[in-house]
Amino acid sequence: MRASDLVVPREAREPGVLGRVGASLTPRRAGTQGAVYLLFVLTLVAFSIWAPSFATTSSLSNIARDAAPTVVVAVGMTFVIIAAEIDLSVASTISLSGLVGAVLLGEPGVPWPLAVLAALAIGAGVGLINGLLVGYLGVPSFLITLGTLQAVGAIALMATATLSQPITSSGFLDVFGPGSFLSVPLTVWWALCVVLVGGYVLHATKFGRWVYAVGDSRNAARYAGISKPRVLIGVFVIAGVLAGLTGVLLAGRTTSGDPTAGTDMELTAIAAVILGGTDLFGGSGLIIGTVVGSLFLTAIQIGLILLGASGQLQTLVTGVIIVCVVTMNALAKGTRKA
Amino acid sequence: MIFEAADERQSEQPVGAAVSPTADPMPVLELRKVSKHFGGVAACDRVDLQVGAGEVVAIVGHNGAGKSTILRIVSGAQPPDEGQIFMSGQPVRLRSVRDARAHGIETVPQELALAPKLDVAANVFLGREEVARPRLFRFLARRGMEREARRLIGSLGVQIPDLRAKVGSLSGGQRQGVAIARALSWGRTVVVLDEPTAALGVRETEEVEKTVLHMKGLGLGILLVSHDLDQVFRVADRVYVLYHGRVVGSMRPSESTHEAVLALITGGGSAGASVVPVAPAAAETKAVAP
Repeated sequence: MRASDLVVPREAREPGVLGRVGASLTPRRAGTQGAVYLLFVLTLVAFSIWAPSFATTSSLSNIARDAAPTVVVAVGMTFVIIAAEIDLSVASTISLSGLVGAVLLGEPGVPWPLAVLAALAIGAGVGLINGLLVGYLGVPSFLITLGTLQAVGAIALMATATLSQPITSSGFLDVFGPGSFLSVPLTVWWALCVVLVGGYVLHATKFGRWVYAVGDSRNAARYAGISKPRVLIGVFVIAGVLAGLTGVLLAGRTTSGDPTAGTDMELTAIAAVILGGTDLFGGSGLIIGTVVGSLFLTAIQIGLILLGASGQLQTLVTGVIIVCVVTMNALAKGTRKA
Repeated sequence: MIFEAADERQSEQPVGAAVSPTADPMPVLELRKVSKHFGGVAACDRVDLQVGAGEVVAIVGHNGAGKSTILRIVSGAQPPDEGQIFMSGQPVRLRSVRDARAHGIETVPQELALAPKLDVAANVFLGREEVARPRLFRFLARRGMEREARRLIGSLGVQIPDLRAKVGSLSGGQRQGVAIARALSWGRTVVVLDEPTAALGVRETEEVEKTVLHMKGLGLGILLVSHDLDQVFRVADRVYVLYHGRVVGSMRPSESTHEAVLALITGGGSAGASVVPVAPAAAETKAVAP
């Protein structure tokens, strides 16, 4: 392929509001990614036709609300995957931090913000352990985070003898509870904040650029004087803290801390990131893609529920869609090499 | 007899007697008696080398003659065991790539070390991105960096129509251009090029050579490691020939011949002389030793 083939109209390249995001949106990516987005829209249309209640504000609001925790954890996962690593431990971090938050909220004398901070600190701690081991020792992140997934998950189950912990703190529930602000669910507001801040850090700062560089070429990053260990610690801590926040959001929405709240969410998050067009091998991807990926997955779930599909069928359809999209991306890359 | 002189040097090493044909009284980079040993083997042995401002200096020699050792010493990747390094007359210590960079030496490694999925501007500024004003939010200065990358690449005469193209989609020559632009924006005094055209076609090689001459015109000192003698004769102002870690000859290509240089490369100035008939050419060759 010649460089001139890559020339796109100026207006397509000028970054808009969200748009420092658009800078890495090359036409090739827009090609495959455009196909995923088209699939997303077609799915929405199909559901609207087959399940008339799908295209109502209440069900769209449900999609947004249900997608919000996925978005939060998947934004963290986007950082990790762009750095060419993976974090399986987020599921257990979600469970443990939500649970610890809930337990601390039940303690008299503990102000609720402190409980939230403690939950986030647990996420940061797990992320730091992952980051130190992967960054400095070069142990494959798949194995390290598989280990922390097991260990942290076990701690969550042991902590309350597998019982869930109800939350009654009204101060906490005013901010993280199942309620709404300006008729938008609180969790959606939180997800929006995470997307904006995450997009800023990944797309508009030096650190974000270094995440791409480390994920793209370790050698180039080394020659450029970018510290691989520091960047990797950074991405794992971000993923951990956002997993902690996801735990808090889930606990708030269900008004209880559940030691299995995050089960399987690592897979949902990875699926959302990959559906959103982020390269599983690192070096490219966008936060906005992850948002679309999360909404896509949730819309399928809700649509299938409205169609009366069983839980197993929902999982089956989701699985098939992931296989299709990932295959599409792989094929697109194949033609590019040829 | 010139080859005897070279032999003498190997045995005696007269102090401070290194005569270099450079006209520049104050070289931007000077190595004096620089040695590096690996185990009992001298990868480079009491090497004297000078690079002047606006001068292209080539290092030639067989594989294992010590070219890459010198290159790594100059780029800071491998500090020498003995000897001194001077930048514009000042003694410096190059203990890391960072050190070398701080002294204005930038190296373009043979494998270029570019990030293929990032765009041209991102690669040129990788690791030292600029921040836009107001600095409060530390936003990357995308436009500014792109403008500067465009200027640098334009000044090198490299044709890259779209700076937002991923580097992985560029041709070999364009990639080399990006790597050199990157070195040019960092390296203020000396640019080290390791086999810059080893992977390139004829036309792209030509472009890179033009770029090298352009950098020379900017007053940079250029240290070029190359296997391609024709290239050395096209672009270099001076050539150092290495043999078993020693400098066995230093000459101006304009005053020498391929045969003379080749003889030094293959024979180190002794054994090779009897194999290749180079007597007339060798007379033009200035040996380093007196």
